[in-house]
Amino acid sequence: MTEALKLVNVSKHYKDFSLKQVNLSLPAGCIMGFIGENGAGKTTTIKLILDLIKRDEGRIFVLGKDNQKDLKSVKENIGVVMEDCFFPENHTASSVNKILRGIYGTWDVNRFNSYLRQFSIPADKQIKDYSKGMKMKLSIAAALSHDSKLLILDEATNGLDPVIRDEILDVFLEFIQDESHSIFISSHIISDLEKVCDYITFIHKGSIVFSESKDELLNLYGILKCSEKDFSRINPEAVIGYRKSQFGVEALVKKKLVRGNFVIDRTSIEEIMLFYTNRSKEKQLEVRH
Amino acid sequence: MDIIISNSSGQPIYEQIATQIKNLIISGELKEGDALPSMRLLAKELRISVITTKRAYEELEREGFITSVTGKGSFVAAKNVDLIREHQLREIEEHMKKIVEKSIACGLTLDELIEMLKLFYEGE
Amino acid sequence: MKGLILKDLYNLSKQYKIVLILVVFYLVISLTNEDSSFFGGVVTILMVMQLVTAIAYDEKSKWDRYALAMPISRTDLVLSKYLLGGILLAIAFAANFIFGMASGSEPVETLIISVAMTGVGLLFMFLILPFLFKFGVEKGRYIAMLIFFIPTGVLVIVSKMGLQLPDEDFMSVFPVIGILVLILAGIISVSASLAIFKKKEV
Repeated sequence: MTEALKLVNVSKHYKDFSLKQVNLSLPAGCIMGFIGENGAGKTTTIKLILDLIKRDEGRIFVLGKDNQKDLKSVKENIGVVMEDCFFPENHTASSVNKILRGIYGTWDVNRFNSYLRQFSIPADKQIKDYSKGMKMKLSIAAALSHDSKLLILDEATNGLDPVIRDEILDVFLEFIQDESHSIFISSHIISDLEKVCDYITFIHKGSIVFSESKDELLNLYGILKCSEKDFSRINPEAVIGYRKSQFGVEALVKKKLVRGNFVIDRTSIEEIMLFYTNRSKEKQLEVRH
Repeated sequence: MDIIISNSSGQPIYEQIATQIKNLIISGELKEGDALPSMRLLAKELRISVITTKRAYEELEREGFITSVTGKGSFVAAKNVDLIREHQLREIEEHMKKIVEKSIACGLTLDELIEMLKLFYEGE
Repeated sequence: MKGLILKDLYNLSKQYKIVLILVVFYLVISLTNEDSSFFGGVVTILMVMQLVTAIAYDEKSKWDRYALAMPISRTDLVLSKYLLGGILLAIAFAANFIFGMASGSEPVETLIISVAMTGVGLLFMFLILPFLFKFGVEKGRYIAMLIFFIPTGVLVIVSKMGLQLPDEDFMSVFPVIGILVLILAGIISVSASLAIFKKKEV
């Protein structure tokens, strides 16, 4: 199995929103960041991957198996962390341990306990008394305490302070030391993803804008700053999006398509996402006028 | 072994890593047969993508500085004296290019430049 | 599935104080009225309500979404609720029988009443579960209350019947019909619940 996750032409139609022809592929042993603004379709995509909702078109393969045929056995090897903690509030870490032991065939009680120690989670405190960070850490401990080969995280780090996010990032990096382990993480806090992701997939209004290796993206794009006059001379094909101020223009460009002696700075994934998003907003405005 | 990378330097990160490891090998700090950290471990410790470290190692292997054995890892290759010399010559050329550019920019003649060079060389 | 039942029992056990108080309360009423079957009826309904409460807990914590990401199938989730109901009603049956015996009624009569009560409880469960799967606990509650009036009526009749032993013919036929009805209701209920839940977007 070379791909931990593969979506082929996946579509899902709702009344006000559609996911259109989503294609993405996560090679085993890598981390893919799934970015997009709120409402872009990230959670819908993840729900489709887990077969929580039914797709209208396309095929989905999780750890090499078709997600509508073999999913129950594959789920033994998937660890899922979602934004809300789904354990009933009156449970404790120890009761969670007992319950999950009765659900997962590969549940490792000792591993779970050592994560609890590492995260300083008391065994007998009720979940309703946990802080948000603690709930998240409990979910992560649970996701890692059975034979997980693919971790799927949906906005799992929202609302957590940078210290905890950093702690969790370390745990993920440790997880990925094993080449057969992969991570699929959706977030709109891009700074977390930017450092360690191998691939970035950007979804906007239900369609995939790009799905590339992060290094490629950062090599391909750059931020160009110049006067409005100079900007009008630039090949429009090179420009992804731009921002005009009173003192000049700032644009995201494809470095190779820009001719001439311009200063192009390194960009970030967040900027790429912003400029792409703005560009579609401008197109909407153009259409209206 | 220390690897320090900078996000603000214009040089791509994989190149920075490759260059630093090369220098460690040339200077002798890394000896023939020494094991390099695994690509994944390096990525984790530096907090960068595994693809970046992989690319750095691939370049090092391509240029003959290291050899990778699947399942075992990457090791410093036998010191290829010619290779190293070539590498050092290339670096000297780079420096020379810069010196010439600056000299021309501030109006230094070739003879004046050679004089300065003699001073430095003979001084060593 | 073991984990699922454990989770539900754990959730419900947190409420045991309230349940205990209710049980004692109705026990006292039953004793003072010398109507042992009243107690039995109440305990049965109480257990069915616990089942609804367990489902409510799941809904509140969006458990289904998380559960389906684990090696649990939709069939497992549905069947675990029926199994839980069965366990709860078995407890009701035991409570019923013990109370009946303790208050001095005849064993056979007590057994019959206990079985009848449990049977009605099962019927109630079969009736409301598909609705709960379809509409959830909030909306399903109204439907559950509506359906409640039917078994209540039946229970009242049963308890009235318990006071005069019905005649032989009726007694020999009733259990058979009862069991057949239950089996049929059970099959329809489980099939409906499975069909509903398999399509549900979680």
